[in-house]
Amino acid sequence: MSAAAGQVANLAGRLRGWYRASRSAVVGGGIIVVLVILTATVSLYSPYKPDAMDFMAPLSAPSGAHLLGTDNFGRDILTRVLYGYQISLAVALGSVGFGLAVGVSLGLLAGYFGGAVDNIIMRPMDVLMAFPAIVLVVALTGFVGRDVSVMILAVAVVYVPIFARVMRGSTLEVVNELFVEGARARGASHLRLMLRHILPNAIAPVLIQASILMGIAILLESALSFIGLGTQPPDPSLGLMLSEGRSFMLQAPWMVMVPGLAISIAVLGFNLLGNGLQDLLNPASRSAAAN
Amino acid sequence: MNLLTVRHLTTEFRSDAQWLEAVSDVSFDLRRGEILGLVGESGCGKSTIAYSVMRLLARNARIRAGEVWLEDVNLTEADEDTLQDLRGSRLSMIFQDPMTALDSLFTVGHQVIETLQEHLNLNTAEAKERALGLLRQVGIPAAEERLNAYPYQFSGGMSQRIALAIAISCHPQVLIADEPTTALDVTIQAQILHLIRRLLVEEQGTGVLLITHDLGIVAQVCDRVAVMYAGKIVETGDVSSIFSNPLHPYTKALLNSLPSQGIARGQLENIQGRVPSLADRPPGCHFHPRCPHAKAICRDKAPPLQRVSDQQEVACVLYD
Amino acid sequence: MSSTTNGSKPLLSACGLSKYFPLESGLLASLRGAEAAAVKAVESVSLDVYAGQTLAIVGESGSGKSTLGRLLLRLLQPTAGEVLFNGDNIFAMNRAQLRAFRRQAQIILQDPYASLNPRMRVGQIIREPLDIFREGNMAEREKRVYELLDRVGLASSHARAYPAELSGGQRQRVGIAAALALSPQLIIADEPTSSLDVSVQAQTLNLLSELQRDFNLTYVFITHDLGVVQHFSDRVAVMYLGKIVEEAPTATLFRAPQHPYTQVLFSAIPRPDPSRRVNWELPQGEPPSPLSPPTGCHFHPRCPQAMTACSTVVPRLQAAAPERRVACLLYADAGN
Repeated sequence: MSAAAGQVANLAGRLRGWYRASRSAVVGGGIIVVLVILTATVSLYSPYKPDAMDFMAPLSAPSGAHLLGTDNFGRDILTRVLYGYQISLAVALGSVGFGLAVGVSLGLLAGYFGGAVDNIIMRPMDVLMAFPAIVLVVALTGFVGRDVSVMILAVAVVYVPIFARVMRGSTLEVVNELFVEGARARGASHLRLMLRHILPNAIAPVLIQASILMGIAILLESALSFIGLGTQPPDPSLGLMLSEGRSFMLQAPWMVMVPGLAISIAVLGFNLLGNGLQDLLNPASRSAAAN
Repeated sequence: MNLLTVRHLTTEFRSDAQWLEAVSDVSFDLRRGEILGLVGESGCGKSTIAYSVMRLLARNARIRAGEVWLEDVNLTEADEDTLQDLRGSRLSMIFQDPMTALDSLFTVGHQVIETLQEHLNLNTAEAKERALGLLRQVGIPAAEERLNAYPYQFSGGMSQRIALAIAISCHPQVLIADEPTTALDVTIQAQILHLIRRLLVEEQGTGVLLITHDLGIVAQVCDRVAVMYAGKIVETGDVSSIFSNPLHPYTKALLNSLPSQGIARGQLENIQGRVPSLADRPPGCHFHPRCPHAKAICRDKAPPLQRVSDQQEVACVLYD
Repeated sequence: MSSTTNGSKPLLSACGLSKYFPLESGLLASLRGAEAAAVKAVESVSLDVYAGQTLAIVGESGSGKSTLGRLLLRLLQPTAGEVLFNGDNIFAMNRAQLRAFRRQAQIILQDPYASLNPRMRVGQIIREPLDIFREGNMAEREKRVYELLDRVGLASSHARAYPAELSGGQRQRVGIAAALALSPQLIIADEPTSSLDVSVQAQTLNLLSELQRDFNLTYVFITHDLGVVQHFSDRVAVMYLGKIVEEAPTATLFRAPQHPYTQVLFSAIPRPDPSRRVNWELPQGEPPSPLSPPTGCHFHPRCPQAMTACSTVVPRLQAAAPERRVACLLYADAGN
């Protein structure tokens, strides 16, 4: 028990340290943690099913029974928003995760080997990057089909060149560090140099980028669903809810305001986290906070 | 005649909630036409003294006690206007990195002329003529063309010459040189130090406070030296006395730690332990934990700097 | 091929070693081919290093001494020439041979702040060479790490620290421990003490010479600090703009430097002896840019003893006395 208490105190201490180093990282991170917990456990505490219609109470304003009101089918909007977040977050995590895995590997290889390898990897990335993101996503979903996994893949394809480019840039900075040369003189293999010496010292800007791209992924998913290329009804999605709510904007403004606000909060959370990481992962400001 | 008189200077830095002394009760004089070396290892407070005298301390630092006089002006009490008038005219400074003094956006000529016009009543043509003369004096070849060059077009040695030209443009009475040659090659270092000696000290009678970690430089160019350890002057005197007859155990150890041919390999005297950080300077004489002659009293009492001969002052209980 | 001097074979020997860095790379430069401009960082350098001895390579910035050090370890590919380690050309080695070479030849880098990976603990840094060469099992490696920490004068508790928690001197000890981990024969030290305070420098130099004695190490010391050279080395090679201008046993060289550059360099060292003040009129001018080195002898524009021939004739590094080589027309024999 006391060990657990110690751990809690320890964690609290750490959080305080982080908060001093970067308020926005802790606030942004906090928003996201709360959202993730609320959405992951929604089925445990919500009295409503996301698609349970209540024809007795369509378009009812926020009340004790429906905290944020109901839609035109009498579905509980709060419940639907929380389920909608599941899809948003899945797309964000999936696309960023996939983009990170592929983009970081490619950027690391390109920056480390340089020369021909760099050209072979980065020229196609440039081409991919030259495509407007939304058009690429529309084309892919239109071509392959409408499914969450397709959306994840589509957004990831947009993200890979972004991550690759950031990773290549920071690799180029680290690859000439003295300690990398030292490790090379000790006989370290290319793989060891890349994974042990360069990656940990070059990943910070990529993580900052990742956090911001999470927010953008949520926007992209909402936009795709809004124009009908993403999540299909009756599944709850923030973009779809916005789209459906448009027709009832005057009678039931909460139908658009709630999902709109929900999107904003999530994006804000990721952006704050990204800004904050910038301070937190920068050794200069970190040591200033430690002193 | 004293150009610069420093009395009981104490400068401290803010760290978290407390103030830590970087320089403790330091007193020294700088006379006309001499080079005073301020020597010590990193963290001993020698640069902090320079910035305290210039009143250019960072925001988290302050002079807590003591006085600094530039002839009849009390620098510790002067207001910012007075200080700005004095800096660059009567009181000048050059730094380890000459780029500190140069603005990369303007030509070198522009910067020298600007300084001249700020402090002296010169029209542009006169100032330009003066600037040209200065660049020639500090040994810039093809000075006329170089007036129109930007700082990035100069090597480290050339930039330091220009910084020096700006620093001496208004015939300062006092020049503070903070490790001016540390970033330069030895042949260039020799040129710059020679320039300071000949141009300033011998021709104009400037007093130079030369801050350095290099005892070789002290031996070669300084007239007097003050040895610092952990924020205090532990020994001071004229250079030949200090090198031939060092008294303070720290000075002795420092001189003996210099590598040279006479000493067998692996036999350099080394001072055990390391320089204490600002936060944990030991009580009493700061050097006592590393001192081979430490006695019980050294732990309790910080010895004041005492005159032991005409040439030397030392802060150590061995010489009470 | 193997050269012999005094009957013993050198451990390491460079022959006609050159490294040019092309100024522009890319399509246009390669189209122009051979005419592309290059910085001649190291130009036909030959030298021998004998086992158990210390060779100091001295020079100012731009002299190419650090590039030479990296060539000697095959951290760079040379433009021309070869380096023999125990008689084998390191540039002709295959993977397995190169691996064996890396065990035997280690480097200590200059800046103890930049030369340690900030995200690895001290113990991991010292253990890394053992991991790379799969020395023993994990327990044995850990044991060796603690031995090494102890050997370089660090506490075993330092194993868990990150480099940022150590002082400059302690970090340099970590670098030394990592270089020692595989018990190499040769250590190339690039300015190992130049960023340390004098008292810490003394500690580090003492440690390095103890280690040399205990393990019969061979050192190549790259430095600009002539006090360190005089105290520490058996032989000295002086470099100016990519070339060795003089090479001799340390005592001989310091007693009577022959090349005018060596003389200028020695006169410029601030000696800690106020009774022997040097008149620093001597060193004239700045080292020229390696992009456009002067013709003939690279030093002639700054040389107080320059003759007319110096601007056209490139002096060869040749024996001026036993064990002593100088590249200067003043000492060239008539046949040259």
